[in-house]
Amino acid sequence: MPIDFSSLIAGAVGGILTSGTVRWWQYRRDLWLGRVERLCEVVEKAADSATIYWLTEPGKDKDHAFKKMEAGLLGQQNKFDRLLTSVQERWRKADQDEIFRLSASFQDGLNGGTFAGERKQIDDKRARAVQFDASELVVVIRIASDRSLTLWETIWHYIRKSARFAKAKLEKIC
Amino acid sequence: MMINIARDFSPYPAGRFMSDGPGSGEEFRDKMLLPALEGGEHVTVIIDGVKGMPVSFMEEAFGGLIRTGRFTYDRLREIMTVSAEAPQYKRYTMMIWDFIKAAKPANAH
Repeated sequence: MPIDFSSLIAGAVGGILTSGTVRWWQYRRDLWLGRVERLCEVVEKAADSATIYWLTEPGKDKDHAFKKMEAGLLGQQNKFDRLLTSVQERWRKADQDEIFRLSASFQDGLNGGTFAGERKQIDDKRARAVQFDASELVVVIRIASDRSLTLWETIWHYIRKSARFAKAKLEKIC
Repeated sequence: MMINIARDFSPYPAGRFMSDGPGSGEEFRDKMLLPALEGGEHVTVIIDGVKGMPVSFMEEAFGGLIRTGRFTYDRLREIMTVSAEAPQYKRYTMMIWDFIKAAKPANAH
């Protein structure tokens, strides 16, 4: 039987393209999931820092360690904001809204109330609330992330992404 | 009229009341926001560029507008825009409007 070289080459190219696409998708997915994991870690760490902050009585004239805690909480808030922004587009709209709602409550626990205030007092309710909100947020983030990795959601994500890319390019041209 | 918090007020907003130190929400509201809003022009508040945005600052600066009794949520929607270009700050614009919506005039029972 004669060897059909064109079919052989077409098959090889098709195979390489398919496995390349799958590997590329796996790489992007792992990268995204890594950031989601990091986000959850930041939420938990920030909640622990906030709990210590809200259960600590500031020293006279607010001592150095206390100011360090406040600066640390602002830094963790920023890390949370940046990571959240980097992963949010892949979640469904309803999940995004739920996560934003919980984030607002969580951030209020981080540095709302009398945060950085001269009249800052021990606030055990806020200390408890921030832990509760953080745990809820982490669970909702994980569920939303699992949901966004179904085949349909993945396809839909790339359609949306391509549409945004095309729109941006068109706006540049026009 | 535009107010860029980082440029015109402080890149380090902090705390709720003036007694908490410089850069508080109360100071921003009383010295910048209220005079601008009462000037009659539409006010755009830009929040990009700040080094940290404590919720205590945001709540006092913006929710506090309602507590003064001089504005309602609907009126503020007409005369003020809260804007952010950087994606990580966009969520704060929504939070600010939530604070305004949740706040009650100080004399309300």
